[in-house]
Amino acid sequence: MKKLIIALAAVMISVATYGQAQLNFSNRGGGVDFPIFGPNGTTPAGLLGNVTAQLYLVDGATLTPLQPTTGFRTAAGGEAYLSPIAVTVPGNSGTPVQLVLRAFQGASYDTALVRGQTAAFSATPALAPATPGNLTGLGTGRLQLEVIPEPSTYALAALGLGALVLFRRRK
Amino acid sequence: MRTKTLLMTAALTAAGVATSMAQVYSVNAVGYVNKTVPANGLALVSNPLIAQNQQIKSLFASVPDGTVIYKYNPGSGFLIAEKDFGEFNEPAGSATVAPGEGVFVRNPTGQAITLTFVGEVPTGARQTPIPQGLSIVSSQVPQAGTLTALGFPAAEGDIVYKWNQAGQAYSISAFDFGSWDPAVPTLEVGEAVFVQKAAATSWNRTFNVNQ
Repeated sequence: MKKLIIALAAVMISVATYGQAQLNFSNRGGGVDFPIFGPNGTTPAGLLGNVTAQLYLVDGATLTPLQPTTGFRTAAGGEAYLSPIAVTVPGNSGTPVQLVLRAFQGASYDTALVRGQTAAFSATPALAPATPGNLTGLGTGRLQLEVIPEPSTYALAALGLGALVLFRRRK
Repeated sequence: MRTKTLLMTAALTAAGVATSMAQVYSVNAVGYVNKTVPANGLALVSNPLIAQNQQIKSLFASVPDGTVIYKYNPGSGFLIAEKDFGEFNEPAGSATVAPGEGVFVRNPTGQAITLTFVGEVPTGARQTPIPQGLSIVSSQVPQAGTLTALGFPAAEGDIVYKWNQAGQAYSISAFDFGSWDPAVPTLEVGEAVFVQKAAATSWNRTFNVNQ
């Protein structure tokens, strides 16, 4: 019985692996040229340090992160471009998908103080033996990351505004 | 008469001695290479040796029914040869796979398949034309190593798609800004890769067995 369960699980895993389409997670090549820069608009994002890029599957308002993530090229002149990597789209057998590319400094997009994302774009993952589909819908353009103010910054601003109002009233 | 026989015997002996003393070297080195195609999976393999018959139906004669060979033709896409009832469909089955080329092999069974390539080691000046766009290529010289060590003509904008047998997925490397990223791809003997080239070129190597 145990052997049967193990064999069944192995078959399930192999079937699951067999039919998953892949994308070429790269912002350069194949008709795509979409460099990513830091908040000043000129520093390549790869030079900011600890910046990660990730693709997300868009389904209505839901964003599902895809794996793996990637970093930036280290060669001189290439630091605004991603280190290319093949990303698997679970359950997809080669049909077009809507995606968003996010880049962030630190552990996660949600907690990052420097981050940015593209508008939704389309791409078609490909099943082997075909090579992974390019992010054709990304096209040409650029992504500039933004500085996200910390909650304490907002609190300080609110305090300052409050003090100003109080000061004026007293006057 | 006796003298004549003696002279003939002496001449034959001298010829025999001369023949045995002449050192005759074979310039051909022959051998075999085994490649494994995982159960229910794909492998991207090359034909690493010059076989007497390089047609798909001969190179892959031992594979079980249901096995599919995908040969990529730039411009027209995959030529598909499937073995059924003990033979490959034509004309795909008669297509050749020479050293420097490669094919995907899909194993439909629950057991790994071992492919055995037998033939002569390619030596001398070897040239593998690589077209613009996508193609499947391999090293004509049956050596393992990085593409750099194997003399691959890398150029700006090159993308190499290497098939990871264990994970049944691609890994990607790009040659841009003068270097490979994330790493220079490596090849095993009998392994092929998909290459995307911005311009046509030729992968040239000169190889001798003693190298």
